[in-house]
Amino acid sequence: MLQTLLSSVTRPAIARTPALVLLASALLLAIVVIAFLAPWVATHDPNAIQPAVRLKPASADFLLGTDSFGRDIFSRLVFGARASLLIGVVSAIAAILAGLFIGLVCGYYPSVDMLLMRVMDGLMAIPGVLLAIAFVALWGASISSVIIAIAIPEIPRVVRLARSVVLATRHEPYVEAAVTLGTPGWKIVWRHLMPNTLPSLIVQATYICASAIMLEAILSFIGAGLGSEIPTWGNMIADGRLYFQIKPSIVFIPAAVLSACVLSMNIIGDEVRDRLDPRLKKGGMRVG
Amino acid sequence: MLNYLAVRIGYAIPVAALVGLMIFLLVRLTPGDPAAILVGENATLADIEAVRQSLGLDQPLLTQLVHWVGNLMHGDIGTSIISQIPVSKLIAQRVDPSLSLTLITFVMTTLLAIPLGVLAAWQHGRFADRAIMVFSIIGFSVPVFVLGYVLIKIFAIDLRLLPVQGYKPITDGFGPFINRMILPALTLTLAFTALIARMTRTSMLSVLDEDYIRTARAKGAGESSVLFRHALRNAFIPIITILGNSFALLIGGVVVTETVFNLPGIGRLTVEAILARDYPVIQGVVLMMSFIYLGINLLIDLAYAFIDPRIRY
Amino acid sequence: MSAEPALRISHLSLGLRGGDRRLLMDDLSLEVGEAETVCLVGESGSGKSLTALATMGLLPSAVDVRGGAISVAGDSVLDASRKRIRDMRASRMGMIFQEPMTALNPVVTIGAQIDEVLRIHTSKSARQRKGDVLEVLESVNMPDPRGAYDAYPHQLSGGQRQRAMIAMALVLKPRLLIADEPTTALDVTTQRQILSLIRDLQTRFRMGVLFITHDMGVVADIADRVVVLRHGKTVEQGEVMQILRTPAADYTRELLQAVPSLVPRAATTEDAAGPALKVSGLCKTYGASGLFSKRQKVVAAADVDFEVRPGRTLGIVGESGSGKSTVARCVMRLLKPDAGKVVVGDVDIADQPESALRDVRRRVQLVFQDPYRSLNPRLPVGESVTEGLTNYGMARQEALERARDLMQRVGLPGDSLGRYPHEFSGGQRQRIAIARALSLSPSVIVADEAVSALDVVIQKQVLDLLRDLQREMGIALLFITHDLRVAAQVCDDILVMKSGRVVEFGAPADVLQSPAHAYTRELIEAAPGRNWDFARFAPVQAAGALSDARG
Repeated sequence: MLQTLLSSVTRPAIARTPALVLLASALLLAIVVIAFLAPWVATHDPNAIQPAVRLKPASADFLLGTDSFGRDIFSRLVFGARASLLIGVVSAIAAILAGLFIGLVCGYYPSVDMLLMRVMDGLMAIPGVLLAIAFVALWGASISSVIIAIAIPEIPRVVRLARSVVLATRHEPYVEAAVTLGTPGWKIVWRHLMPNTLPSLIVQATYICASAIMLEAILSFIGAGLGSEIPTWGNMIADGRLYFQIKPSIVFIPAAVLSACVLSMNIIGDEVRDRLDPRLKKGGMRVG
Repeated sequence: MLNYLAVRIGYAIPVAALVGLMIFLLVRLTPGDPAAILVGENATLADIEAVRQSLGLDQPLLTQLVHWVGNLMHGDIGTSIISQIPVSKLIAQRVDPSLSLTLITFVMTTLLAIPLGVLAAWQHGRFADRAIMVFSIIGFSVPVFVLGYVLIKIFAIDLRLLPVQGYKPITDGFGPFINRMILPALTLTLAFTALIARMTRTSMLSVLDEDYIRTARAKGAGESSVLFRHALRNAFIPIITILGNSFALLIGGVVVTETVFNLPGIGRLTVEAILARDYPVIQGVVLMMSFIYLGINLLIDLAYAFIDPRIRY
Repeated sequence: MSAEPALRISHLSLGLRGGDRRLLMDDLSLEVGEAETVCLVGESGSGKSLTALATMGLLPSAVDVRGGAISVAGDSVLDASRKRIRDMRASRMGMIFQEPMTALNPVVTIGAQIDEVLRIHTSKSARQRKGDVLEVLESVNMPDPRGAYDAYPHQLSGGQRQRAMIAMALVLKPRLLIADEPTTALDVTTQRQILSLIRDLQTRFRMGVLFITHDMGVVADIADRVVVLRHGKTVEQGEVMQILRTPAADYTRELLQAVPSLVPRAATTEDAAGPALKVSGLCKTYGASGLFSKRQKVVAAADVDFEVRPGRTLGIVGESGSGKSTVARCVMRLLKPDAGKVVVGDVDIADQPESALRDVRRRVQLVFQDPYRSLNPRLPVGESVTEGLTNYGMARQEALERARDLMQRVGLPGDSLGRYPHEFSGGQRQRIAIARALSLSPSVIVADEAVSALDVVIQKQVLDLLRDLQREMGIALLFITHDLRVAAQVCDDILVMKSGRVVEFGAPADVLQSPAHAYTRELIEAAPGRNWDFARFAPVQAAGALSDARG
């Protein structure tokens, strides 16, 4: 009772979305739009090598200057948004789907739980960056191998999250009521357990998306990422590294865009999490 | 208590075995011919065959596994196919810079992040909390190597206070050692403080919501006593877990930071191995790091037995 | 001692910070004198806990004092400085809470937690403090005070933890003790001990007690005076006998009339039909030894026999750990019994594999304790009510039609099917849960503490509904409860369990008037307000009424 009253006080405060969140959303939206419209937004072919115009400063022709091969930085940045977002979003979706499936199975079927969770513990023990590096190094760098390499280390965390929700929910009276109503196991998982995992998984997805974009950049930076014929923000930074002392902007421009994009995603993730905070949803607490 | 220790160790052993198996399979289940990938595009069939034989890849999977595990038991985690030096020896040669960087980062992070997290939780919703949270979210949104370059630009290139990169062992004197260690350690510390402070805050906030905090206030306890004696003492348990789990992330950070600052550590070793496709080294380093991670987390689990009175198996 | 009362609240009004005009507490005035117990009674949402928190200066930040004054032993609380109020806590006014497990810090020993009070408020030496702590632990009848001093909360039982809380609240002998539902989470036998302990200490220390409760039985046992609250308004206040005998307000009457008394209901006529549910030799033990650890085995059910005939109600009464819920779960086959038979109609379901249970499941249905958790919050209630029907192949449209009828049958509008659980009150949700249980036309319904979480007036309504439906449909009802008073009101037969064993079985009148087992006697004696027939506003007039615990 008191809780419901209290949440009715806090609700309007939460409804006021902080300016920072609006800014982050606007920025992210802009990046997404640009990524979709890349061929129209870009002013040059991102892979056109022009040794004559190496390392040029910003000008009317080259909006943000050129890199060490004379490629237009602005156009590479625009096309880079495509690759980076694609890798981020697909890794996040892949990790969430795989993790959700394993987590539901582990939570609901104790017989496989023991083994699968040890496998997940093992996967967590392998440092994610090293695992991704080794994977891409051995399987060869392509968009799909990078996505797999990034998604795999994220799976155990998703599994733990989904599994903990299932374990917390599976003995809830409404789940047991469904058992007594003759509801088959798969339907209980789908109808009564899975929906409870969604709020936290949606939040987790934004974090994974952000960290995937970052990890892609790290892979490129280490030299295990995609070749520069597919521009990504990560390999732009990696390519610019050698010229960093001559022309810092060659590193800092893609780095700034990358950081801003990751930051926006994290800010939005935080906001979603705060709004879904279970502490505001304990509807039924009895306080005389 | 003894039971608890036995259970924890009992869990760690199969996990370690699974880690070994996964790393083994990572290489063996590579699509196509790993030998061909390892040798590179311009190799002859004879070269490939030679590599395959030298790695034992021509033998059945199970034989390879038995052989590999047998070697592991003797402490042999493989030999570099480039330099022909055992991987364990390569790691030993390169361990100093990485260990220094990790330890300095770990200590500085702990000293910074926990007070910041506690402060943020205490000032929940107020200015200090917001400021710490903004710092934190920026801190872990900016990739470590970008942070490294920003610091190099400011402190080494513009202000010329510190060397740009490189490494001097501590045996060459503390001054040169620390001069070259400040920026890498600061880079990693900033990134990790952001993460740990945020998690400390979350643990503290959930503890501050507990009934026993209300009880402490009902006793007339002052704010600092509520915060440290009651809240932090309980929040400490999840915080230690977080520190242990974040070790895997820290290793990733070390690899990148060493590349940025050109430190000849295990991270550089890994990167060199990747560029040279020296797969036994990659495999050996990954295995080593995973086992270290497992060891640290096992120690933390064991420490609970002494920290948390509720643990009784 | 000063002439000031231990607590004086005058014209206290509380509201929510922000624009909301509603008052959570509207013009409350009360006094608690020296050595006096005042009970604050009300249903959930009445504002009784807020009153306690306001007195301790512990109001949540969202709650605002709109007016009035609170003084403890003459010292004003509401306008005191933060420092002053900290000084007053524990020394002037102590508080104990509902759930002693969560109210104690899990990683600090009991001794250190009590010692902290002394360290904050006195300048005694460590040695003196330890002496004081042991003394207060002794005065709350803590078994083995020295052992408890070094124990952590999880090592004590629920009752011992509450004793530790009381010791902590009373170590400085405050003038006022605030007890917020301190026995609600405890078993009834433990509750009785804690209540008499509070009573004893009060006389010894001559302190005032503000006792918050929802249980009229507790009120009848301990109160000197009573304040009845509803939605933040004072309904009436007065001497306890006056309130119980001649309540002035309609609401108080309604409240009292709903209170179950230890007066058995009239026996119903025996039905000739064969049993709908027959349990024999049921055994269940928990805690098999694991790979590394040997856990203690807990016998949750040992050789339990009973049967329930159509249209009749069997009550299983027991405290926590008695195994009553295990029996219920075995009957539902949410648990697989280790041995014995559970015959529903003519099928023994005890040993059936999960796949063979589908046909039997529809014949045994369950109504749970917690109305807030028994419906899936993410599904419209219509989905919950029709789930069983569609599982057994009924077309969706037909199922919805049937669900509409069922909702009307349990007293809810048929168009509520599209709404979500949070749009309903606790009592309404329990009605929906009953509709869901009825949807498959079961022959047996298991009600596991089905009304324990409800306010007493709602509780009575739901019980009446269950009884009507049962009569009409000839359902056998297995009623699991910790509350002998409720069992006395609704059951045709009562079965008392202790530590997994049946210790008593019989008709309510027999069980209550001539219990065969010592434990049953103990339960009867511990039942709060057992000498009072609330609905008739008079003491129980049974032959050989048990002596008054208040002496």
